[in-house]
Amino acid sequence: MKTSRKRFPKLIYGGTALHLVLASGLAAAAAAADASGSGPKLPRLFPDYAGITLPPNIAPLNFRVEEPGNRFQADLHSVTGPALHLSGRKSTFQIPMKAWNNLLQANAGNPFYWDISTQDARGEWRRFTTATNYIAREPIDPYIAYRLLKPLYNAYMNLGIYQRHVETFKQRPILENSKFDHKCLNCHTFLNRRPDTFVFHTRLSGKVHPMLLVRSNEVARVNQTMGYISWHPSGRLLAFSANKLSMFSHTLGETRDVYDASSNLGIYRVDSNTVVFPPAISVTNLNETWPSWAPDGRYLYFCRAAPLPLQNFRQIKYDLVRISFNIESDTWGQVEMVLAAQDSHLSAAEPRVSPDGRLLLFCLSAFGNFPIYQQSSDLYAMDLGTRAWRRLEINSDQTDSWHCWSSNGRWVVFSSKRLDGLFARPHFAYVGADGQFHKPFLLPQADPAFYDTYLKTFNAPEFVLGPVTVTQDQLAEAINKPKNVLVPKVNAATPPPETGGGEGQSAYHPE
Amino acid sequence: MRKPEPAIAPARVILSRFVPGFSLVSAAFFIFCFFYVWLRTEPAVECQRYSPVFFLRHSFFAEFLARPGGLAEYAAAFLAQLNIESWLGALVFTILCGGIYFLQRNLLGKISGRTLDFLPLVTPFLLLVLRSRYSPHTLLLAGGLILSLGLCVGRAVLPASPTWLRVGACWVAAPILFYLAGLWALAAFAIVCGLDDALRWKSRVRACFCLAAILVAPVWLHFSGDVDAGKVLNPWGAGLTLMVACAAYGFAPVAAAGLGIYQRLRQAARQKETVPGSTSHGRQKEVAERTSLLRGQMVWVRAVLFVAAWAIVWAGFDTKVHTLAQIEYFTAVGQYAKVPPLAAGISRKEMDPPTELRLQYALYHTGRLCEDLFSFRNQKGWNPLPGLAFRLEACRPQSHVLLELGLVSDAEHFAHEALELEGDRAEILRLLAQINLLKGRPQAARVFLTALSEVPFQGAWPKMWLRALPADVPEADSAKFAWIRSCMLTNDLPHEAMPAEPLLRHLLNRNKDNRMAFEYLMVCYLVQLRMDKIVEALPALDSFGYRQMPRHLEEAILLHQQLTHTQVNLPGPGIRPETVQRFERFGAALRQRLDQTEEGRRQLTRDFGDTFWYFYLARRKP
Repeated sequence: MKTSRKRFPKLIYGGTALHLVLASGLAAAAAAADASGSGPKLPRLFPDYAGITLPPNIAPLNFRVEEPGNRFQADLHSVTGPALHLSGRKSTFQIPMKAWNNLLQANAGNPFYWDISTQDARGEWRRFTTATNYIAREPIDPYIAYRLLKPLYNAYMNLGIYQRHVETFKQRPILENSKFDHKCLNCHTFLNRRPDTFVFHTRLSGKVHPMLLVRSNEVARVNQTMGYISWHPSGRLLAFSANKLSMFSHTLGETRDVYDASSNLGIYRVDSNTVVFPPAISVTNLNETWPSWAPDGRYLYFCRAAPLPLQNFRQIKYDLVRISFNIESDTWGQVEMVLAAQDSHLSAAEPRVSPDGRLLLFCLSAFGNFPIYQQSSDLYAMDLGTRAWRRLEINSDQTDSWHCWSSNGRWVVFSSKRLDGLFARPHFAYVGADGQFHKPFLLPQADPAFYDTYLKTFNAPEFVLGPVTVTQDQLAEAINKPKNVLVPKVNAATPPPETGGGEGQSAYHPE
Repeated sequence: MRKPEPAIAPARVILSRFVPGFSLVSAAFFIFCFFYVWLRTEPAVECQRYSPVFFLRHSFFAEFLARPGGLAEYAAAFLAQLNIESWLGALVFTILCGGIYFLQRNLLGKISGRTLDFLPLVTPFLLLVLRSRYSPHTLLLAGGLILSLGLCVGRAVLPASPTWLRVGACWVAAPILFYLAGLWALAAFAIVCGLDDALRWKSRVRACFCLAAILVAPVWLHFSGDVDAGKVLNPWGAGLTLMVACAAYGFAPVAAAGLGIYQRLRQAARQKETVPGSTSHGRQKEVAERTSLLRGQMVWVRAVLFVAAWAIVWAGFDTKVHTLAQIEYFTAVGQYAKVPPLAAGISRKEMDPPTELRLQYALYHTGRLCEDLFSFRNQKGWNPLPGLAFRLEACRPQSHVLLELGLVSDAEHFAHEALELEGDRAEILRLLAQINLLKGRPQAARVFLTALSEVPFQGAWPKMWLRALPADVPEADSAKFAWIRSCMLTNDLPHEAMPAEPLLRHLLNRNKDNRMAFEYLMVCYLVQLRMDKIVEALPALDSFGYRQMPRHLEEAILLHQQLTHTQVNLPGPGIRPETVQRFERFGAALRQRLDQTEEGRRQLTRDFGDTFWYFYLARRKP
């Protein structure tokens, strides 16, 4: 349905006589429904935009009313400013951008009421209970970057990393693999959400699968295979994992699963172009993975477990640990247990500390270290002051993982398969000052029916503070015809671990 | 004085009244073309094998808007959907060829000042050659040609002056054509415009301006950013398609140049002949007689060329691809009985892994899997569930087999591999919808069904299913689904690669009536030469209601008895006497050491090539 702004210009803004008459009529209809005993109820909307907290700078939450009717009306209003009135014969609503932005910006911090009505074949209107949302004061970071790919197993043809402006519906590729012979790319990681400094990993035909390092929009190819990567907030170091991953299949439940035969952590020193495998985080008889620096750079969080053979995969449960680090003296402290698997009876992955250093957000799943393939994967939060941890209320009965904090710490974006159990879609959730996570909502699209037929999954959404301006051609050139190739010197004093160190990344690439 | 019209108008005249611009020879061509494409190339078969992805939704259309030539690709992809019915696909192709013929005839007629019936058939013939080779670019090429020629004709009808009008028309049309149909169409258009101005209107300056319109392409590419210049430069790939594209796009400019030059030379010759006193009545009569004779000879030349061109089209028909596509088609539509005879005609070199899987699947459905498997010696892989061992192209047929067996998760695995490799084909979307429903993910099934409902001519099935969701499947498919559900494993068997034997055994433990699992397990044992396992499985034969033990199992048991000097207790009626007698003859042949000589091996192949014993002889370890 198109917006009624052009067709019914007088009805858009509240306060018109006709609007009042109509509203009173609808109220009477609602009262009649109450009297009949059926009672008004919340309308079924897709996406579910009822009871959510939304940022003041989000693109219009276009939606579809999933209730029967011949005509549909929506009145979106808040405390100040004119309401948005939409109506038409179609059940989908596409909200005008400018009016939406005005309404949200004028009402940051206020409730946001959605009144939905439907008209049946007899011409009678049914008004649903008002859906009350809230407009947060704190804005969301304007961009997210994610990888788009179909549910993959072994083969991949078309995938890419894209950036989406969340204040509009514009999506643009950062790099598509069609630019470099349809090879793989993954694990995009931004330095403090800066759009000009980031890394991602590629998988080419040769023995080494290089990383592309973009610093202040200067692109270099680093001939070092890396798995999961995390920037030290200083921008001087990258912690990375070297994993030997392989895929196996189940005959029940989620078909795919990933086994990490051997993994270790390494440090890439960006300025000196050297790689070290500090013994403290690269223990021979332990598998370490999912490195993640705290925002102050004083701790490296990661997950670790004792290696077990594949047939015992259900017993593989990762502890969540951290280790202190002094960047000035380049010294490591002792590994400190944050959450032991024997206490949680679950396996930890993807630790991410909030920008204020107060909350640690992580995944727990039944086993293994590949949450995206675990229906049991949920998001948990730990108060780093008290070490109290809890399962978050934003979880679903499907996979919830791949989370990222916004720069102000008030928003998280995460991938959830809650819609259908197969395709991961990005969801946003507001985090209150009290640490409460509010009901999440789906990334809005121009067409509310977008997700009905979209056969790709949104992988690893990351907040970015602005648009990535380095071009696809520049990135592709660094892969195809690199001018600036860095071959890191592996520090002889700390030789690569037995896993093969930098060569350890397997052929498998997570969603 | 006006010459009186004949009492009965010739067929050519009648035809041209109804279809202006068409001659008898061209009409014959297009009638042949229609029937040739309909009955020989079979667009429905082609559609099953090569149909491009197409969705009736704006976001899909928008993808094509981003690049030059994208709209022609979009149109070609849509037209390819019409191949779902062979007659319709043939009609579309014939109409496209007719359009090209008509436009080319018109264009060349304008440039040369002559009516040309035969020459414009060259491009339709080229397209027909391409269609005979099952090139996926045929419709794109035809669409681009129509756009290019259409604009050429449109410009050719403009008056000779003013100059700005003719040059301006060229420059206005150039970016539009480049955006619609890409570089090749633009290049052909600009060259033809240039030739038209140079030869017909004798303006070299205008011709140069027209040719310069090609510069639209590099300028566009320079400013458009992310357009793949390589694909714009060559959208055809390599080989025959590229050659035919060169010839088809090059024909109009070359013919225009040739005709234009010929016309000028002829005019010069006429001027020379019309100098006063240089000709006489006798000379004119001589020229008229010579022209008449030449026309008579030309009819024969044309007839010979026409037949020769058809002979090239006929001979160039890609029989191999057609057979493989037919096997794929008949398997997809459930006409399994037609598959084995077709597969028998494929050479071992031509047999590919997907076809091998389809053959085995068809043999199972016709009750011949354990009866005739070794009759098809052209197989190479001999593996009914190869996993990824046969490269990724075998994923789609394998997914069907796995689904029917009850290995739904593995079917999902291979369906997704196929989806990634082959794109959003309707067949794969349908498969994944069923798989997700069986796996208890109705909302995921809904995504695939909704996507499928946007594919032209595929909407009825997904809409029926969407109505039945989320409760269950439509009535028509409920029995099939109930059966698969009864076969699905209820325990988790984590596995790497594709361990066919343990999976099939677990399927039989889950549902002892799963005859497909039993036969595929038997095939696994046969190709692994594990006769002992077949002997162990014999008690299960009764429960499947075989009236007669399948031949290959009989052969395996006889060989097992011979090799182990044991007697197997046989269920049911036992082994057929003719199998026993044949085994005795095989033993006698071996005792005569026939396998030691070339002639002897040929005899063994002739007499026993369709048996398990022969397979064993070839495969056993020395």
